Amino acid sequence: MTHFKTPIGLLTLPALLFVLILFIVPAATLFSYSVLTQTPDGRIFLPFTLANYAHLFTTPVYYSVLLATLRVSGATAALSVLLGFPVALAIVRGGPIVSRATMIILVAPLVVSIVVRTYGWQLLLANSGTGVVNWALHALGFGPAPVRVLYSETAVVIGSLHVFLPMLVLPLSSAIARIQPAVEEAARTLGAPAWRVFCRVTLPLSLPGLIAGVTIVFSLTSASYVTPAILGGNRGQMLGNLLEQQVVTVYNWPLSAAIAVVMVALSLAVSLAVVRLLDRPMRRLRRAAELA
Amino acid sequence: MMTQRLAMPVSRRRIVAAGLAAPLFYMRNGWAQGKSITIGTYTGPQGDFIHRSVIPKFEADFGCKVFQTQGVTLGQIALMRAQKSAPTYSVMMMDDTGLPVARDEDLIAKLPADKIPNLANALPRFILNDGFAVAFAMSACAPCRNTQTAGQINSYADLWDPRYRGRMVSASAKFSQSVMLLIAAAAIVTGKPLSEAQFLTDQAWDKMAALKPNIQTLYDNSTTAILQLSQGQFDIDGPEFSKTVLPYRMKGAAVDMCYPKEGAFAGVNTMTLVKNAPNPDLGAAFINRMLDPVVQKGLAEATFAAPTIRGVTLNAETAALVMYPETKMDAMKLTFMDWSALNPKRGAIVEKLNQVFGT
Amino acid sequence: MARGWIGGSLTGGSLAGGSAWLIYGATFAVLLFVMAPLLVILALSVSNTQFASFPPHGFTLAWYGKVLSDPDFQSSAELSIGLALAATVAALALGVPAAFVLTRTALRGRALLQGLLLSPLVFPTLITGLALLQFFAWLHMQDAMVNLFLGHALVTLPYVVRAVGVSLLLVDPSLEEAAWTLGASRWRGFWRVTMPQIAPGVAAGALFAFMVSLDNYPVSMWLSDARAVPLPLLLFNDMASLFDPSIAAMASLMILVGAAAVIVLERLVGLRRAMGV
Repeated sequence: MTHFKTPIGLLTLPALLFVLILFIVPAATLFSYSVLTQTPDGRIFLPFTLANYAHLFTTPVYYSVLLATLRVSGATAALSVLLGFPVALAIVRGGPIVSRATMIILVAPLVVSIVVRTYGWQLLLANSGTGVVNWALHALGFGPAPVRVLYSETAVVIGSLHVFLPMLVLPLSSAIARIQPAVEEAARTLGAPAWRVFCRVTLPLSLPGLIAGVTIVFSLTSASYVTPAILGGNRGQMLGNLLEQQVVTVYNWPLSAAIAVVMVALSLAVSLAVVRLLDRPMRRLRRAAELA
Repeated sequence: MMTQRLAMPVSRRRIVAAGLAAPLFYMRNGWAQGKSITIGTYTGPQGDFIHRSVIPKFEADFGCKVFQTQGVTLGQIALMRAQKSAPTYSVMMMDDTGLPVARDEDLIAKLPADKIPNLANALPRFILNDGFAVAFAMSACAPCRNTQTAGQINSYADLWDPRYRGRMVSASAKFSQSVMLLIAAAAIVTGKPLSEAQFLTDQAWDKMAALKPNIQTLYDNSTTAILQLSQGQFDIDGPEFSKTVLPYRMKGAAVDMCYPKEGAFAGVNTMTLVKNAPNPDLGAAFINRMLDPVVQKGLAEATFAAPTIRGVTLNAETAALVMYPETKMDAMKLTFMDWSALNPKRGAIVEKLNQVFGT
Repeated sequence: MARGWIGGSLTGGSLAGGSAWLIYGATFAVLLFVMAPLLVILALSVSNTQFASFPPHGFTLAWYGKVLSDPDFQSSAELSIGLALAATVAALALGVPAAFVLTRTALRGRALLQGLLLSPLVFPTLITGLALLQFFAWLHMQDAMVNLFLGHALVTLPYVVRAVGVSLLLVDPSLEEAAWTLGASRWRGFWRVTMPQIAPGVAAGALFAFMVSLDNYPVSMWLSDARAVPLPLLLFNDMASLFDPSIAAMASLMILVGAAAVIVLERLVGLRRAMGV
């Protein structure tokens, strides 16, 4: 840690002011709406009320959609680890061509509009012969339209996975790259098989990156509304959809604000829980791995 | 001599003056020179027609600029609300769903009949909310089908037929079509006509729950839904606006509107004048232009929506497809919705729709 | 070194034989998954049919011609690119110093600062867009270009802070200290030693910021107006008309631009270094 004489913290001031004024203040104002009342002519003001939160807790649809949101976000986060680890390993430990090609293919889709990508999935997963997957399976000899996954939570997971996978792979790759190869080699020369090296050395040492990535994937998935709207249909709704409807269709700002508060709280709670839960075992594993 | 000396300069001056006066003479609307307005229109073919066929000529006639934003009703209202203290838009086009809200929140101004002479030619049923809005197009909203896989839909009750299990779709709770479906269910349950059933939606929920097995999805985008319908991903869609379905049909897609015996819902596209708008006279002139018989005919034929003024003669193809004139509207039981009664219930309806059709 | 294994000898790298094929195989499958919807869209963009439906028939580049010659597309593309560049510059100007302070100083409340700067990332973007609209209206800020610029700078800033921060963490501060002991001034040490090392991170942050801005829909939707229609909005509005292959063509153009940008970054600084991997 270098220490500077001039108050170097001033360097953050522009960024901080910017975010404070443009984001924190409007966001806080919005959150405050959740305890205020909206008049018929559209103004939002006192009196204070908890009726909006009460409504959220007593209307069953919010609870079931909250559970659905947790399910989908959790599944996406978990699957992203499963899919992301090989990719991260390929990037860090693979040959130069493999590594670069993988990076390019992984990162390039980020510039494509999420609306477009999700419609691409709608075309892929369509529940009839015009869906690409069904068309391909039919060409291979399977039934007319065997795959019926569109308009379900599964489809939302697939779409979310597609969008947010890079958000896990990048921090994870970064963490793996920082593991000294000597540590893994030492384990291997001591006779441990590859999978054991992975479990006892690579995995624990890459946990910080993994956790960062997983929590980001969870947060982003839980806040999304485009993917569930297009791929989820009525059976794959998430909190983001209910929020969109209350804001855009019903224009109930206080209720929408309450939903937004719940969404952000959910995201924060899960992130904190993951960090807390894994903090001590993580430190233990890392120390063990470093000693190994 | 004097006349002789003056002859040349005067005649030159007169030529120059005549030249200057000519455009002003033909442009009776010299008052609008150099002014500009921003209008909010619909997306899709309607927006395109206004962009290509209405605005250029209007700009030429008035020597002004018209900036057009395309959007949907709810977005337009959100914009007006956000800009209430300093509006940038002069004319806003929106569905009749938005009118009670815009009125209650004091976002729109009463249409000045003296600045909009064509208002006198509009059909009375299309002058809405005490003259605060006038419709410029009407699109019937009714079930539609894939003509190769589904038969005619003669009654809304047909939508519940088990043969459509998993083969039906409808617009999500975000859209007004979902409320129309609810009203249709209420009509079946109570036996009342659609116009009365819209106040009895509370009785329709069990019937809606019974529809769930038929529903493959509630979609977020009408245009892609009709495309999917034409490809056979499902058989029926209900209800949808003719202005969305008919362009596909005219391009050869295997879809068509069905008009059940109970009637169709009126999708009313209106124009409003934003309160405290910049250049309101120019905005009123634009509204007047939209009600012009030539524009009404062109718009109807381009978008397959019905005109809203008297005396438009449509070409045979369009005349067969749209609900015009008034006698046809009455014969096919065109039902107008009372949004000032429905809007207060909308929040609860949205939640209940999510609940009934969710997991 | 762990070379000489099968996988290693074929493609370089340090993966062991059997597990190398497992990893490469899994990676290949995942990459196919990543490319699938984009390939579908590319396939549709050359289809010689009225509507954008699968499977495509025929081959034609006419749809690309239609899109590229459309004046609305041209002005939208110009706007989007200009906006993305401006937002990126702003995000860099604000974010690089901020990242520096976050990683190099022992300022109290650092975690809070970091949380604040990164918060736009995980906040529901629908709400961010609407909140900004309300806020600008309240301030009578009607210029859509300015509003879009501010909105985009806001949502891209966290990406810069994160990328540059990660890069700074990887830099060995002792190198900079060595420069000081050799007589260089503090600022010279920073510029000549540290900056080059974090250049890839800055480049990555810039690329992310650019791409996020180019792609952004929720914020653009609320802040745009007639004179300022970013590309994603144009695409979305076009989808509300007829869904024909020209929409797939427009989307394909964006895909190709993205791929090109990423390849350029790879060529210039190396993606791995840029991403701090």
